[in-house]
Amino acid sequence: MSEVHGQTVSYVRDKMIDEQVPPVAEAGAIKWLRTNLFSGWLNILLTVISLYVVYLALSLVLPWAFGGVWNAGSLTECREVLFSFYKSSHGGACWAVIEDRWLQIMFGFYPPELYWRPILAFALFFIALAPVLFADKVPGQLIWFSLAYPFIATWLIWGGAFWAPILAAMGFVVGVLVLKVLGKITGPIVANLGAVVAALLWWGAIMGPINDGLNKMVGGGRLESRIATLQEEADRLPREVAEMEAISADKAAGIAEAVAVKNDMLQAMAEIRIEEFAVEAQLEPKEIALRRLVGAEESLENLAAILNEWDGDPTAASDASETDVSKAQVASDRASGLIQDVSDLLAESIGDIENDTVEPSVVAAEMVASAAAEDPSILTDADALVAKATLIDPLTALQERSEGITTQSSLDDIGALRVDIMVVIASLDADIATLSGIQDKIIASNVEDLVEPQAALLSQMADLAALRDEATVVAQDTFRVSTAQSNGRTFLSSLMTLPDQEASVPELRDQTIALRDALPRSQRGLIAVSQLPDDASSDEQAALSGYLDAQSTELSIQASIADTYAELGRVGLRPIDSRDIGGFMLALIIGIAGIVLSLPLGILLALGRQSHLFIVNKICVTFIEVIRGVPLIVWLFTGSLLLNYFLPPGTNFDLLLRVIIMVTLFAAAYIAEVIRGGLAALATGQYEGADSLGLSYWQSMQLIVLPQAMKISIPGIVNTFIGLFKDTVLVVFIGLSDPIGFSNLIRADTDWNGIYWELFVFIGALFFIFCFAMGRYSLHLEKKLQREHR
Amino acid sequence: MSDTTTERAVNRDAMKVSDEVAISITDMNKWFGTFHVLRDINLTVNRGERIVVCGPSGSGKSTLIRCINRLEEHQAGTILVDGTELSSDLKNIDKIRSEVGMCFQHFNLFPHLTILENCTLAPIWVRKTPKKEAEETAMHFLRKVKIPEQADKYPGQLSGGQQQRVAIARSLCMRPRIMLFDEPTSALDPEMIKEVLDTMIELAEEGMTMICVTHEMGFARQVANRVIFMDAGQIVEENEPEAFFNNPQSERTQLFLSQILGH
Repeated sequence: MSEVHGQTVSYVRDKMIDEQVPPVAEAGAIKWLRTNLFSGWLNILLTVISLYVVYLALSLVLPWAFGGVWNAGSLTECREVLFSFYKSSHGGACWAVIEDRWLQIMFGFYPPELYWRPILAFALFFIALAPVLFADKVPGQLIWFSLAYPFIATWLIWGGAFWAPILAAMGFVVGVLVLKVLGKITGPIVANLGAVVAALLWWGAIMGPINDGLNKMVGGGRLESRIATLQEEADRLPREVAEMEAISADKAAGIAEAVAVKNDMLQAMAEIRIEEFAVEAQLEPKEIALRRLVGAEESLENLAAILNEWDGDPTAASDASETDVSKAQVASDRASGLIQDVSDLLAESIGDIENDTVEPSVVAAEMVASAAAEDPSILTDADALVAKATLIDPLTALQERSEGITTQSSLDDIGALRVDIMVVIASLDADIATLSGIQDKIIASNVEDLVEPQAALLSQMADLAALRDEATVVAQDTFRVSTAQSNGRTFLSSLMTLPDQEASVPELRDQTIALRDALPRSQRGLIAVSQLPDDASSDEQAALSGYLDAQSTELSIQASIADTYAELGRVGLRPIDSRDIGGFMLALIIGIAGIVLSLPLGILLALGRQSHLFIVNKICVTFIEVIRGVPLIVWLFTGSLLLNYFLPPGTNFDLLLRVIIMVTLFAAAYIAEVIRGGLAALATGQYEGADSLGLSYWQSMQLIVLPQAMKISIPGIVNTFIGLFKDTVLVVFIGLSDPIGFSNLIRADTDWNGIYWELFVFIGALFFIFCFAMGRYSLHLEKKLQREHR
Repeated sequence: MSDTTTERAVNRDAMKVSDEVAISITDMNKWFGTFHVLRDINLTVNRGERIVVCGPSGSGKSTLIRCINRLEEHQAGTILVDGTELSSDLKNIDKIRSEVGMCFQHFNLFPHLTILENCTLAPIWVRKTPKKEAEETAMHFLRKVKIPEQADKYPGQLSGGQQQRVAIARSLCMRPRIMLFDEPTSALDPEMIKEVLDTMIELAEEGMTMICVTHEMGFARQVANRVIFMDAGQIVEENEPEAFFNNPQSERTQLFLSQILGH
């Protein structure tokens, strides 16, 4: 600048430029469209293609989904209804299966009258979740409810006495108390160990007797009144069952009637359509014949071309070279083939028309008679059709002529034949056009005629579904009462024998002790005759086996007494067996338990893997690598089958609990690795900052390191949780009835045999809702934390 | 660079040094693997004394002061802080760390906590101070470093100089008897260095025992009782600031000073 001007110009801005509006094409919707959809030729092309693909997919899926049938008792009924609407049984979805079975897919075999329990547990889950997910919006005291929630939910779902979850929770209280007391006296390691031992002691040895004691205390006072109630029920319930069965029979009769009405309606609709079907029966063979004739004509054209090139007989040329002869041979063969084709095609087309339209004029006349009443224009169309209907004769003549064609035929003959075939084609074409016109008119008039019957059919199907629902309710009630009746009978008999059983216990115990004392000291701890040394005498064997029998009798009597008292003295909810828990509820139980338990375990594993303590570190690394390196399904099989071999004989360890443990361990290994990534991403300055303030290891982890590491890991953690939740469907392979298991069970019913799509769409949608919600929450959390911390 | 503090008159008279020993380091050695980082360090710091440690990078200055609150472990010799020996006993380490405040080059504030939470965290969890009292103390020190209005912001919303002042306030909230500064101004813009040094001078005037690793020679001249020059893991020269800057004895010191004061 200075060189150009020869001097340095000093410049000071004296007025600042105000903010200005961007150009129109660079703002708002136009800019958005330009940058996101139409920024270049390639993008325009991709936009158009994508929109087309989306349109194509939706145009296939949406009519199927929204044109589906919601009321039907079986797949066959579904197809009948669909056919009456679309003339095809695949025109729409059969959502009736969901309508019919959705409660089963949701709750499995859980007793319907107790559905409120899992629903309440699920609703409370969100309250328990609030202090964790939205800590800033709810009062902090709610966290105590979150801590109590697992016990409340377990009790609600599995039932039992109300004190059982309290006793189980007390184990943690005992542990914490011991930790606090010992923590003041001894070091942290002893205190922690003491707490764990105390809690285990509580669960293993103290909780059981307290529970039994409570049962006995409450149960003892109820014995008399309960026997009276049960006896009264034993009189009353069979009458109730009989009444219900009568109602059930009535309902069945009502359903049969409604089904008959529905069948009549379907029949009437089919009759309305009969002309439509007749025209179709006319049209289809003619269309096929037309395609064959066009083929024959083309073959002739090709033949003419070949003959033209070789001038008559292609092999006859005298001065032909060797290659020419071989080429000529090929052409000749092709020509013969073509001639054969023409002849065959003509013959077949005659067949087509002969088979199905022997008397086209008769059918057309019939159609005219009924259709003309509604649309006089059909009459003239049909007249034309009758006049042109007779195609057989000209076709037969053509076929005969085509047999006269050889490779020696003159091009004129072939040309003449072609022209004649084309005449027939034209006439056939005209026929088809006429028929199509008639068809369109008939369909249009049928659509109108069918509107009313279709609506009537749908309402009839809805009535039928309502009747069936009523019948289902009655059937469920009957089942409930008759089960109560048989259970009551069994329980009454065990209550009657209870005093005798109790009286027999001291005697049995004395007997067992006497038999035990009679054994040599070295044999008293044995639990099977096979454990005796090989040289044991038969007397010794008899003595031991006598003692073992007496012992097992005593134990089984005591167990039976405890069971009776548990039932008699229960103040709480009816117990539900794990086998009855299934469907989506099972997936939720496994998924939620796995998520809640695997997060703390994963954090501990991640910290262990970062630890400088060699043994801890190696244990964590081995655990993570082994769990992660083996497919989940293998762990599930291990849990369901192999674990029994390692547990003491006679332990009855709930399969569902085993699955939850396996799923938790599996997810924890993944969580650990995700959190380790978060820990590694944290600057060492954070650790040093915490250290320099004098925070202990656990304090700095809890307050400084984990909050930041977890924030970084949120997407990975949620990703793992979503994966875990979806993987719960794998339990179908070890015999638990999750939603997929139920889809198999539903298909096993003859009513719904062969139905796939609708069930899987429904199950998929259920999972999608939950996984999508989790993903959205994770995004929300990420944004919130990002905004706060920057 | 070295003149950022000269505008302010420093009241050296207020900075009294007592005879009581605060830190005593005897024959201390440290290795990183086989690399000998600190060699035979002997250093005694009295209560109220201000020490500035300088030297070329890699000379072991930072490692020395990090050893004093056991962010680094020494392998030979003894370090006594307030009469307590630093050993592998975790209780001693936590006790010493809560008595010794430290400021880092990169501040090391906790980004997920507000300024106030940063300052009250350690008093509440380590000293078991009630939350209200801890917040009052925190606000007192935040006023002292002149940023009480930022208390509810997050560290990411503050400038570097403000963050370093928060870091100082955070350390002070533990009422430490000794403060360690590890290059507190090295990561700051020139405009921000002054506000941090002013805070440090104020602290010195109140009689805080301080060890600063810094290249702010103006600060050293005004505030320090002693300047220590380190090279290759050893204390090369140790003297009062006037003597140190005007009449350095060793050749290495002369070279170093000529390079950092030369422009």
